[in-house]
Amino acid sequence: MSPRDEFFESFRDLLSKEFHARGFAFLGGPSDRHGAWELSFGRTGVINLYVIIAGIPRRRQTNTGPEVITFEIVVGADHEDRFTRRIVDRGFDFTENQLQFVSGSFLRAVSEAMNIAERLTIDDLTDRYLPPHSPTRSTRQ
Amino acid sequence: MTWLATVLDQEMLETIRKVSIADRSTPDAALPIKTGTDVATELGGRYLLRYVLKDQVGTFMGGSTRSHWVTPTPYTSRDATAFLALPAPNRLRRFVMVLNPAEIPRILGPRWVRLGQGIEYLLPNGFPTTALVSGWELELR
Repeated sequence: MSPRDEFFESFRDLLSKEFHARGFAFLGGPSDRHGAWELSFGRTGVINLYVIIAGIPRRRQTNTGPEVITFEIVVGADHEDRFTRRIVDRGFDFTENQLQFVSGSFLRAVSEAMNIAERLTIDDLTDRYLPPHSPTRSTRQ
Repeated sequence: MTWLATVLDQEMLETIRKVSIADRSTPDAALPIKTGTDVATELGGRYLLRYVLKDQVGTFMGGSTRSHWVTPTPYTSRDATAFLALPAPNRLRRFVMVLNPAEIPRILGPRWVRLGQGIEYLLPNGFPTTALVSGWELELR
């Protein structure tokens, strides 16, 4: 397992404690979603709330330079076919060597993301999941 | 057209193959575990796609033991970002790996993409070199 893989495993454990304390369950990860590591947490209720932490390796400035991981925090919610998805922070860059020293400011950003998720209401779900019906089901109605 | 491609995949899975697509809130651990042969059958012999960032081209030519999300649905670079709700939306995935599910021992899913519009499967133990259909990434045009 690479240092980065080990980091994401331990990061998941650290974040899980933070999320569980706020009633969010671990949904999955770390898994590679088409080039980015992702960890997902969620809370079911009147609307389903999600907070997704993604780490995206950024191109090295030089061949010998350290690889930088840019973190992105996404908040969203859904209810039936309505949803919203918002990138609430993408300002954290760490090199692989720095990953073990993830800053308190990043953890505060994760906590703020949970705050933002908790403030979402059904009126915020302005996007719609597609497709609402498959073709055959539409013709049967 | 991307919407239609997704609808047709939904149709193929749910209506023709009688395969349930898990709800977006389903944790990874609750997804059905299948053999690659099972998934190849439910996809009617079609392949799975893992989109690739330009600077990650070549990284997985020897296979991978990481967990990866993949989709059966072909997308343009821009539509992949939107339909798969990918992190780092400013970095288009301009390449794709084509994977033969029959060569992958263990696959979870399918599930609707959380806060997105696509259908995806999880390869919890990655994929062997033999699963790479073309032997290298294809450039999306």
